[in-house]
Amino acid sequence: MSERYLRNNMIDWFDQSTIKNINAIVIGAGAIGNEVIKNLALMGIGNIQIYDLDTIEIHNLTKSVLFREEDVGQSKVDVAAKRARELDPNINVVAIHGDIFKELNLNDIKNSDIVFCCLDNFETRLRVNQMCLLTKKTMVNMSIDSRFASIEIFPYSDDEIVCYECNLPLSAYERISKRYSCGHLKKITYIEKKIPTTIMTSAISASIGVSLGLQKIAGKEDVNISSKKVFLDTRLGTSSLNHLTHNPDCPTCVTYSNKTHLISTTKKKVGDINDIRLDLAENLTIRLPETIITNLYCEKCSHKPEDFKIKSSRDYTDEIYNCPNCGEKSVKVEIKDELSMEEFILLGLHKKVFDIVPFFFVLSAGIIFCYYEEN
Amino acid sequence: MAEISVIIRTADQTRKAEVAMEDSSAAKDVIDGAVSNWTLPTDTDYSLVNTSNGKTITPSMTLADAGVKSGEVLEIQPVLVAG
Repeated sequence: MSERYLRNNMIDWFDQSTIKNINAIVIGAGAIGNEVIKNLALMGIGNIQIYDLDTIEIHNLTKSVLFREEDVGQSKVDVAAKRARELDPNINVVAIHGDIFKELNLNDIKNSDIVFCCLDNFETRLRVNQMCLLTKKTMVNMSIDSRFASIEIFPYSDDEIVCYECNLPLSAYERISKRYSCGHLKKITYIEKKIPTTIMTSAISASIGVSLGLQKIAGKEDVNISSKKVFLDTRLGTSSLNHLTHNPDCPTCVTYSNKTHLISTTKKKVGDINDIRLDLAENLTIRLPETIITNLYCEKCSHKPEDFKIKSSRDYTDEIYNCPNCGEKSVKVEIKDELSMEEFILLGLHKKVFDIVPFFFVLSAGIIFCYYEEN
Repeated sequence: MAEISVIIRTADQTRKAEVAMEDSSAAKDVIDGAVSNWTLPTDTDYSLVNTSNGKTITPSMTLADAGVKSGEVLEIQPVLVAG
């Protein structure tokens, strides 16, 4: 063991050699992400994957320890990865610049030991939550404002059934829906509310989040960690430990419960669904994890784009309702997230679904087909 | 259904009140009442925690289902989203 970690070796609650072999995913390289990456790098976590789609802006510098003024305009993940390697050249850091919904798949989560969720919106947190629940990976979720810090750990396993969505208030769904028009098309005019944060709240949330996460996956003692939340008030200096309660009506838990059966496949083997169909029942209903646009045409002039391809609704904005031919707001858009097996095959989705959505499940039989790179 | 008397407070402890309510009230009703009466920011989401046992009360769960008893303190915490 390198002399670098001599003092770490004296710590009694984790083993540095275990730390070295950890594969950690950090989703979001903003204020909290910076602190989490810094902590993981200094701890000597062997493998870190960082995901984010943003570039560095000047106002990020007041709470991002890894960014400098000359980095403005560069991708957050590239700079964060570079600075993490500078902190410890012995670790492997991979930067993935792009939309989580496109870039992060179940395979990445499945091959990791822990996921640190450092995002800035409910929607992406929900997606990461579903993926961690499906693959039974521990998720540490951190969020802040300028005063409070919230750190939640979800040690997903066969026994742990409390998920992030269980305690999500209904108003959060309303907030998500405000970002979209009907059919999950992004509103191009929507302006996201800006929430001020501080280095104090981001630093403390990352410190506790990384500690809780390491305790769970690298702790020497077999401590029974259940889903819980640490809530801190940095102005009063108070904190509380909340035990998170399972919600039997939680959409994620209902859908992705232990009753479901995972089937791994690859992009190339999606055609095998045809065979599975014959083995099961013909009246299966396929529900996709996000809406897709299966058809569009103008109701006034009947124009239909020649190059139209079935895509996730996320790939379109609400500008799609404007007909490029007659200029009227009269485009009829067919949006689906649930299809019969017959429709599924008719649209050719059995051959290309994973080019459109990252994974999907057959709701009626409780079977989840997942896109994995098979080893 | 029974009436219980609980103490509701905000996480920053600037608002606190003893409130009598039916134990069939759901957490979201308690939150809505607090947001309305105390004019808490409506662009924030909130969750409810029973500070007596540290357990969160999910939005649709009633106080009776959550085992809330008279005299217990329920805290309204902001659900944070920034990162």
